[in-house]
Amino acid sequence: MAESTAPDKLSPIRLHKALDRVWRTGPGWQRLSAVNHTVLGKRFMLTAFVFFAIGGVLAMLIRAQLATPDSAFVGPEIYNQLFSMHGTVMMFLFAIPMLEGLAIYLLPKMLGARDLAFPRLTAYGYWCYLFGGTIIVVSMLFGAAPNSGWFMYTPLSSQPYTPGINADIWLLGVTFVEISAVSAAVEITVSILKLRAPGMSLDRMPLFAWYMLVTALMMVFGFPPLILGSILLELERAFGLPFFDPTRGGDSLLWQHLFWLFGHPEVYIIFLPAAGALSTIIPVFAQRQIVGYHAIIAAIVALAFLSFGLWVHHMFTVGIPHLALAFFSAASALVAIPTAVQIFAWLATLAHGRPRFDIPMLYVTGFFLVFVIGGLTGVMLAMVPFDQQAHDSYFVVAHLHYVLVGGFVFPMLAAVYYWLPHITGRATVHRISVPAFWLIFVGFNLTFFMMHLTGLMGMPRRVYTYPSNFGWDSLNLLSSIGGFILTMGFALFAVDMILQFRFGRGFRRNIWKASTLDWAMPTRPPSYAFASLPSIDKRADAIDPDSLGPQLASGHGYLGFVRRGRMETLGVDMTTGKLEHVVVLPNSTYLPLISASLTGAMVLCLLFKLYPLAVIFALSTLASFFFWAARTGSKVDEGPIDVGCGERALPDTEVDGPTPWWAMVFALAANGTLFASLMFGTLYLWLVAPAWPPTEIASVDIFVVGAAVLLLAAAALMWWSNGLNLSGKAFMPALMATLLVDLGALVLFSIALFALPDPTSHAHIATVAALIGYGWLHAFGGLAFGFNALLKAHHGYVSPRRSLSLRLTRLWHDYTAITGVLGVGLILLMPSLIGMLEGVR
Amino acid sequence: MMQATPVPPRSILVIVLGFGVWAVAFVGLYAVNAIGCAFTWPSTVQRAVMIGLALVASGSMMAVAGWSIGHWRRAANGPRPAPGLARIGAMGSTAALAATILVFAPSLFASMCL
Repeated sequence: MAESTAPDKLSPIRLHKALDRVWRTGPGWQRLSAVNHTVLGKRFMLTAFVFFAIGGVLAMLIRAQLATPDSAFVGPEIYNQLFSMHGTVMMFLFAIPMLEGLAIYLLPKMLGARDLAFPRLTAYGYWCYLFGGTIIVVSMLFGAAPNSGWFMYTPLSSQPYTPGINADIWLLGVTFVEISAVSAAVEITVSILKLRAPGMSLDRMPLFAWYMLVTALMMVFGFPPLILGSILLELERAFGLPFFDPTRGGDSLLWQHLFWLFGHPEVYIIFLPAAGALSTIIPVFAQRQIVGYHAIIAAIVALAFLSFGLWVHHMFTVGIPHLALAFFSAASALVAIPTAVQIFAWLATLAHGRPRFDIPMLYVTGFFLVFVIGGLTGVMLAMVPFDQQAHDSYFVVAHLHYVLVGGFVFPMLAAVYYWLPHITGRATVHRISVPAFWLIFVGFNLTFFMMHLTGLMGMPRRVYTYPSNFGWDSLNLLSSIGGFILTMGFALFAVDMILQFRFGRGFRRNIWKASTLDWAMPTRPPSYAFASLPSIDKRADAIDPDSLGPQLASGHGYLGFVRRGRMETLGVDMTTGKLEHVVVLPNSTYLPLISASLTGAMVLCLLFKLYPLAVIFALSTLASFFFWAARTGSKVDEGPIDVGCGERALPDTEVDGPTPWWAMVFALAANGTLFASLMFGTLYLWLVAPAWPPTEIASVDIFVVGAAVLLLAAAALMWWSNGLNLSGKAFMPALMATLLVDLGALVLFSIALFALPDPTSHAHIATVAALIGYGWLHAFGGLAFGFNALLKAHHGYVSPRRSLSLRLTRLWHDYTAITGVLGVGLILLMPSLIGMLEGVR
Repeated sequence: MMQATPVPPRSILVIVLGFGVWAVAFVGLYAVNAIGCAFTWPSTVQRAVMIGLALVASGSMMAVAGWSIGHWRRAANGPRPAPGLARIGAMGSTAALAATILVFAPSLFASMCL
């Protein structure tokens, strides 16, 4: 049994030094090994602002081109790259990483934890984001940037019409960044649900955490359709599998469905964290608790679901059955209601409080004005007849900028001014932040309000120039002037940030008199966030940081000590917030950087069609993850250990629902969404695509049925292995048998793939190949998980109480068996479904 | 020692129950509409099917909303973990019921296909 009592109590200074020794990121090159949430949150945000500046420069070039009619400033090819890159950079490289960075920086501090649940995953996500973003941006220097628009519609983005690597850069680079986003989403979800201060039940959580929980879950379910779409389009471009080619049974509208299944929730994924920041900032400046706490949570849950029922409103003109149009139109209008619930709650908070004014409130006011206009034009566009008139015009460009800049940029600027003192330890100096706001506000409205008018006058989006006889000239010139005023505002904002970092005045604690936990710590925050962890007995947005902070700093809370150099924080019951277990987090390591570099090398090899090398890098990435796993866990059963405050709890490795188990559940939920999207795509093409029925049917029944049976057998064996371990019996033979059965499934799936007719001949064969490929990859994943469990068991990390490796492997096998049976079932069903088409087509 | 009362994680699902049912109904009605149009079902048949599905969805949602409101009342009157979740669930399910009626109402009158 390991040491189970807490070390002796230290003085606050000694405690600080002891904790900092364990938690801090080293200087120099050791910065590359950082896994700390404060460091990585700042890196995410800073990198996002760099990409924002790049996207802003691209916008200036667009406005320079459109300032006058018949302009020859840039040609059509460069212009295509400019607007494609502007949208891509702003959506994928600025907005999402910015919200992730804010969440990574703030969540542990707001929830009373010392870090997020998977610090190495945070670091891996950051490096993936940086490398993926760099690939996309550097492509501009070679004139090879994506040029098919930020939503990459097929057939324009298909090989015959975009033959270079421009589209491949988008597909691979964005998928790379999406890996980062989904990993962050899983991490944020698990951290919010499990790593909170004891006593912080879900209905005591601060609203920002609720917003981030809903956002992260939306990312878990919203991003996989795009990841699948990108994989399918890349398979079409690289190998000719015709998923989107209507001449061979594909359908370009499938891309639109997959893209907007991601794309519309994406708008709310961007808006909700910003709204979370507003729900935190407004009560502080209104000097009262938020009005309608429960109604706001209900509203954001409603918003999350409704946002997944709106995607077709981007496709009102493509030819969808009328009744379906009515459903989507109604849902699109309805989504304004939960949004309005939040806006009225914020207004009521201000109305019932004693508002005081400061710079963050300036941007909050800007948000109200701009976002409400964007919301109202959104309701206009939700109406099918109006949308059919305004579709693909500058009216839509104006609407989306009012929503996204109003709903994200203004709140984020408010958030920056609100939390910058927290990050820097220096107070705001107001000299130039006020003119910066007015330049941004006036410049934004001058730029984009005019676009409503040019759009209504018929100006289509994405034209690189226009003749001077349509009456668009002066409005476009005003838009361009507004754009440059807006840029001046952002330049002043950047100068203001630098001045505050350099010359801001110091302050002691809780500068805004906030009542959330993030201010109950020294500012700048120490590497370990809290010297000891609080106990929460009321709503976590109603605490007094001024009295709680010093108590925690002097160690009068949970875990006010360092035990054997371990980085410890607490895990709780996800509903009640009752103390459940102690989570031991990993120290700084270069492994995330190594894994992300290998992943980046794989992406580059795919980009330049060096496929054998790409496979080697993929396997190397997988091997690097084995090293991650090798450094986690415990070789002894510790039993309940002292956590301070007279209480004891089990370590994470010995409880039923540890954080990695939940991470696997949510990762499989994302994976399941991708699989469901693949099933949807298969059925969609069968039902809707032209050039069906196919002339040749894929008949590989015997092999795929055999593979499905083996997947079921592997799941059963894994269940048995786990049971044997729990009862203290030898489980290694059963585990090794599982691996053999996995191998058998892999062989049968491989034979099925080779036995298929040419998958480039028709989308039916291509979709069957994709389903078999999915099964193959998961059988291979089962092998990898099983091998890892074998290694962990061999090295003594598995016991009846420490069974995580086996349970994770079992979870993977259960998932693989379920999706394997469903996928094989669909393959077997396809001939009958195709038979039903006879006589109809 | 502070004992963690085992509260099944599914207790959180009460807050997504209403809109979860709405989402299933939404996908179902959209899919059936698409299938009916692709296979050129007679419009009266298709409308009858769509109205029937909309009624089933609305009825299910009424049951869910009723249960959620009852669950909230029970939670408010007894010592239950995180009673605020039941309140949020009741609000969400009621909103989902309204969404079900409003979104699927066009089944009664809108033209079915292109």
